[in-house]
Amino acid sequence: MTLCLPQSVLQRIWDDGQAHYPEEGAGLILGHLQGDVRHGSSLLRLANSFEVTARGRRYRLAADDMLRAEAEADRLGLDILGVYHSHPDHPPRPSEFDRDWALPFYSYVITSVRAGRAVESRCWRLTEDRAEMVQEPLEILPEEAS
Amino acid sequence: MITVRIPSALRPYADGQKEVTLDAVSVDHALEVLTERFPALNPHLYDETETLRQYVNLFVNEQDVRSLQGGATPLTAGDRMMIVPSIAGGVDAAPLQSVDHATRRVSQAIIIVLLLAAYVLNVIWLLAAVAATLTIGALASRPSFRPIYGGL
Repeated sequence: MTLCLPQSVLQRIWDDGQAHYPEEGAGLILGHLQGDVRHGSSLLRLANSFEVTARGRRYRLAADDMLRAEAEADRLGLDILGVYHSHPDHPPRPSEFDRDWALPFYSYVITSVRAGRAVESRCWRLTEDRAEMVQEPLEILPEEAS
Repeated sequence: MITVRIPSALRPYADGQKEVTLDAVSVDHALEVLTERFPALNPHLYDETETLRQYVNLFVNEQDVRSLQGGATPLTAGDRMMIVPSIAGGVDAAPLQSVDHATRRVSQAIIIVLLLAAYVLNVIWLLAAVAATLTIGALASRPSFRPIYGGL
């Protein structure tokens, strides 16, 4: 499975991570599925509802927001393909907490934000047996190809 | 009949269906019927102890069932039940910083010697210098007299 994102969408993910630094920023990736390729075309930025004091290393998208997000995706005729979030001053690798809370199917784009600047994004997906998160290809498309 | 809305993350385990209609008298009953019809959903809704996973939220007609009667919330024909995942994650706890005990002990020794000297010699500027050095060290989160230790 490959996640394809236009450069502008990746840039918005990076902008969001930088805007939330030193807290974690998160949201949803919307798009459509084509065989083994997921085409992300837009983002839904959502609030980090985790306790304020822990937002530097935790994020949560509240059920109410997810309810509205599902309705918005329906309205746009798109699917929720995955979740993006930032890791302030940490590598873009999923933590055990990420795995505990991960859902199957979704692509998880994690962006490392170091000293306020986004430096790297990687994409991960939970295995069917929920045992681990494996990296999946993240393809960035130049704007004219998106 | 009631309608159960399946979130996009779980549709692959429900034959790709966005909505399922079924007969059920309560929320728990609806989940039971749903997982009987689509067994592949089971591990993603329940953990090893058959408890609903922490990310599973259930709404009936857009009301969270936790504000109703939970799994016992009754359902009537025409009700719309929604399975809504909440999403969470984050980094592992910050790695602990190693402590250089030798530097710390040397710094403490230097502080004691300088304070004693300031007291015995009655030199107020020495006391002020120690205080300033400690303040700078605290702001920089490093042992105040490490430069001296490093030069020894």
